[in-house]
Amino acid sequence: MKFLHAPGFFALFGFAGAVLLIFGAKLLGKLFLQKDEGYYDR
Amino acid sequence: MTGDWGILPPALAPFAGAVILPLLPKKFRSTAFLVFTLAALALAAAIPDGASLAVRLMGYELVLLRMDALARVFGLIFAFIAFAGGLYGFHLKDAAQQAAALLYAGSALGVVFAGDLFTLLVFWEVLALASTYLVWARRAEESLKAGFRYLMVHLFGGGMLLAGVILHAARTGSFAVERLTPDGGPAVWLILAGVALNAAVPPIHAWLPDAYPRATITGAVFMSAFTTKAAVYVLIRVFPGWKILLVMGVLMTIYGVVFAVLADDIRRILSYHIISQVGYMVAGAGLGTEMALNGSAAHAYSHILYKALLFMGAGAVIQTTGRSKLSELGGLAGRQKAIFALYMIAAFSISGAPLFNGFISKSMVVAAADEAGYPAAMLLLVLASVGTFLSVGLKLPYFTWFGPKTGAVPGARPPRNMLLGMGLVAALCVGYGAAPSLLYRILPFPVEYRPYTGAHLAETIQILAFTFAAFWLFRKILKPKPHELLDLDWFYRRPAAFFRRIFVDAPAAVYGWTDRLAVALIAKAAAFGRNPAGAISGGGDYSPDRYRQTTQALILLALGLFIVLALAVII
Repeated sequence: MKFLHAPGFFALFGFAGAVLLIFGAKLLGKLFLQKDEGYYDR
Repeated sequence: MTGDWGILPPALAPFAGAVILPLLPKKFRSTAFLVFTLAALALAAAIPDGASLAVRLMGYELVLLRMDALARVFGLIFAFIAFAGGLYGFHLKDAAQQAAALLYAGSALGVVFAGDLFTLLVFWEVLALASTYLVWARRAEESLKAGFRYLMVHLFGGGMLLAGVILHAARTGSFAVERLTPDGGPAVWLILAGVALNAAVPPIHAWLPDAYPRATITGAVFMSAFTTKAAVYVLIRVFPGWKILLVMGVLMTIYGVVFAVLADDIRRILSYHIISQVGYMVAGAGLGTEMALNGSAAHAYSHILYKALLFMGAGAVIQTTGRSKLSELGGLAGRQKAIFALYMIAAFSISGAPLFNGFISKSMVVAAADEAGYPAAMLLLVLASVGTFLSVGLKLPYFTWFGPKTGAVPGARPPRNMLLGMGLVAALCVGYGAAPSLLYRILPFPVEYRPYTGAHLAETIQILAFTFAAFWLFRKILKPKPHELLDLDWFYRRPAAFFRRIFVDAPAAVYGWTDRLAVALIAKAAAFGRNPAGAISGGGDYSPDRYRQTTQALILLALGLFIVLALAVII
């Protein structure tokens, strides 16, 4: 895995990874994970 | 009894404490807590390698103690964190909760030093019961419900473990806690499932983020340490090199961070990061190389320290503000400098920042994955590390101590002993980070790994800096809103209403209906018996005059009919 040793690879990985996690999680939340409070009481 | 006399299992000290502590006067109880946990720590440190203690019970040999390097790593840190938790909760005036915590610590030590599966199983069940009480002791309705769910799930897990142990013993005749192979039939898979449930491996993980945020402030500190890590110990001991654990472990690391991005409650965020961090340990067990198993044990050791400190910090916020959700916190830094600083030590540790203990243990597992020829797993583990810094290192502290104010005010200062407990654990997080050999020399295998290389430092600093950049750019998106976050507990929480309708409400309705019907029928029958005519005509009270004429007419009619009939026969 040569690209692992490219300069700045982990900088890019950190930034892109964080963006991916933020938007990926938010998308999943919007689609079906996040409901209004008291969801389980209804 | 066989084995070394004069050697006491470390579990015995907290167990004795759980019995004695409630009998002591109030003002000595917290000190007693420290004494008993310190005794356990001394035993875990002093008992020599290879020592064992067995008792015969009904022809069966129970191995209460079996000491070796792997058990010692876990035993030491379990006993230490019980002590630190006791310091943090020194102000508690709740003997039941203190006794439950001692019982919990004792059973965790019991699991670690158990030499046979039956002994392990007994401690395993006590572990579940004692920790359930730490949820209930919060005395809120949602804690009561969550505690029941937690108990149900763990009794189910214990059942799988018991079934597996019985099948395994029937097949092999062995009760030893030793390495198992995947070709051991359903028995070994049942044991694995029971253990994996306690390690919070998806899809049987949802009990953890469900119950931990609802436990008491000090209870959650103990819970963050014992249940999952006792399971990790069993995975390292019994299931090393099972490739399914590598897959599940890597999955766990990502699963936890994704949910933590969404979570609002601070202890729920931390709970998801237990799942994520335990994923590294599960993956290490799955890799099965000496370096990976070392990494797994080392990371469990580090994790117990920084995760307890994180829960202590979150607990201090809840204790002082009475609030636990990021959407209701903010702008507290000015009033909570010490809590914030101590929390950040734990946050940097979990994020694997250089000079903190996560840096020297998490990277062992990551490097072991690379070395064993799993670059994809390695990169996913690094991605999870990005997510860890994002949620625990940035999102949680930013929206608690900085960010927009929401009216949360720190009321009273936290008790001094809380900060003392946090300071003690923080000192070890930094100490082990700065001097990794202190940890490496107690690991089960010799360590050749060097964490502080130029390449590793450069890599880590790049990742942390650019994760921060991404957070700062998108911090408005990350701002949590109050909501219910669904997880796989949906499958037993949501249908609960449906099942209640079918199995509780519907039978109750049928019973109610039959009940009313029976009562009505009996009332009718009684009325009929008392007054048949009145009951049929619906008329009022019986009067003999009322039907006299009708009756006379009917009798005359009948008489006439008989006369006519008689005449007809004669003629």
